Amino acid sequence: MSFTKNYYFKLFIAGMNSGSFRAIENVREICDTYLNNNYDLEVIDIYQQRQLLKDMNIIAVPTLVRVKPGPEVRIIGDMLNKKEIIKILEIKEK
Amino acid sequence: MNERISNLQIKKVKTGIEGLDEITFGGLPFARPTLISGYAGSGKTVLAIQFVLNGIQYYNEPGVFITLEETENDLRKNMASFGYDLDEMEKSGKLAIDNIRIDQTQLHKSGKFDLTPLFLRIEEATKKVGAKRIAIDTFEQIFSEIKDRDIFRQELVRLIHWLKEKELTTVFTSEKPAITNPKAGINEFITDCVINLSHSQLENVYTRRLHILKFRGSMHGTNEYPFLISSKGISLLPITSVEIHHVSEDVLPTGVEGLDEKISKKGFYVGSNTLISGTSGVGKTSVAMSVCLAAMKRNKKALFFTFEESKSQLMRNMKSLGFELEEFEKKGLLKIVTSRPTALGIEAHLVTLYENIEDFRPDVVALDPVTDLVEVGTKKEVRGMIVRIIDYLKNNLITVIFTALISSGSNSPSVQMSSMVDNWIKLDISKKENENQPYITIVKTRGMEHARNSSLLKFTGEGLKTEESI
Repeated sequence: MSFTKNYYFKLFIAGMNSGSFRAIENVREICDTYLNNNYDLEVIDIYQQRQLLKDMNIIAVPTLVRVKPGPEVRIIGDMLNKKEIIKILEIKEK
Repeated sequence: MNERISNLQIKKVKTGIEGLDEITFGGLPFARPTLISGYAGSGKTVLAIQFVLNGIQYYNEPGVFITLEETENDLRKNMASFGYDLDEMEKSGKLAIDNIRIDQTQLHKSGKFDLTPLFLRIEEATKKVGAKRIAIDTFEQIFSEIKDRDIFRQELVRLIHWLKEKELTTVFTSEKPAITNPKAGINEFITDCVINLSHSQLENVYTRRLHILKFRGSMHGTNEYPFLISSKGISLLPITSVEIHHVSEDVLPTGVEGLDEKISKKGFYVGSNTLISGTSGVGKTSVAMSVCLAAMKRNKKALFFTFEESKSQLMRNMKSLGFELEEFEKKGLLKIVTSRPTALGIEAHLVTLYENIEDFRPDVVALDPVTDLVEVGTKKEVRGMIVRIIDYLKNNLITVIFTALISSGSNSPSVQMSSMVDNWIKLDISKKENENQPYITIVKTRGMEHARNSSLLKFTGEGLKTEESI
């Protein structure tokens, strides 16, 4: 975890398939467009990190968790609708 | 044709729940999902988890319990009260419990998703113990979290498919009673076997019922079966009209001197039930105890339920007849249970009765007087209860003695009561000649002959004796 960036996200996916890639791409695009490198994105494959999925109560994939800034916000879905995502994450449009 | 019929006899998995395996003719469908529906408090969680725990305890089938409602600790405590040690089962690698906590923080949705993480958890649990059985309580919680009906539907179908493939016999619980809500929640997807649990309260009497709404490919009992949740968990006391009762040719004497001679077989059949009716104070309890004593002298066990007297009162009264009950109590042949009718509802009485019978395993049971129970239930409920008890006891070849109080002036207990029993002895007080002399009459004996005249009933220090009136 970085202490310098303002945003820290965890993206949970299940295996590396086309759906996972799409979700990762969509999230990256949002971050690159609006957050100007001021973010950390951690991609977690639930197949590789079973304990984490339990610890964090992940019930669906993909799940995006905004860890920082708090409070925690969670979004499940393919993240295709960018306008919706930035609204939920309360990211200011430039 | 025969092949087709035998193919219809689907493979079943025993639940180990008393009465349920009987009315399903073998248990729940193997490798298929069964739905247990019912509102909160109906007993569905108990049934679901007992299915898994009994699998471990009795049938050497490891199992998994997925709970979305209770915490593991609560489960442990609750099931311990039924005599299940969850810790031990987990340690021995036969049981896996996974508590899937649904986060309280709001979950936003954007686009398509699936429930793979859930399935992974379920899969992991089943792999860990090599599970053959699984219960999921309640899957609907997921829907309240994700709120997307299409995805919920799709994922549930996927889950059921996976469970069938892994040959896991599954129990799903549902909050919505399946009969009134066939399309609600998960109900429409689980169609192999559907069981509904209900509980209703009528005039202070609390009755639980189990109803098999559907069981594809199998015969099943179609009634609403009353059941109890006792200290051992769920048990049904089904009225087995189809089943033939075991019968015995053995006879149990009454212990009333002279009375047995008036019966062709010199006593009542083992496993039969006898009604002793009479007004207050006429001696019904004494006659009932006399029968019990006769049994105990033959080394049989007697369980005496008294709804009126205290135990010490009862034992003291019986002493005057020369009935030394303490010695039989010490030998473990006698158990006296006091149960004030107004202290408990019918349901609880039935549970107490049942538990005592299961624990003590008597040969004879006396209920004195059974009419006191009408104070806590409607006549119909009491009658229903008595029928269930009779049926249960008959099947276990336990001889029953009921005493019934009738008000002076009336001639006999309700018609229904006397028609339900095998044998009927009537006690009354002679009205003539300023006497207070009790008379005993055998009114009915099923399967044997009896003398019809009334005899005087004498209470002596050596027990009860009859004397022929002149």
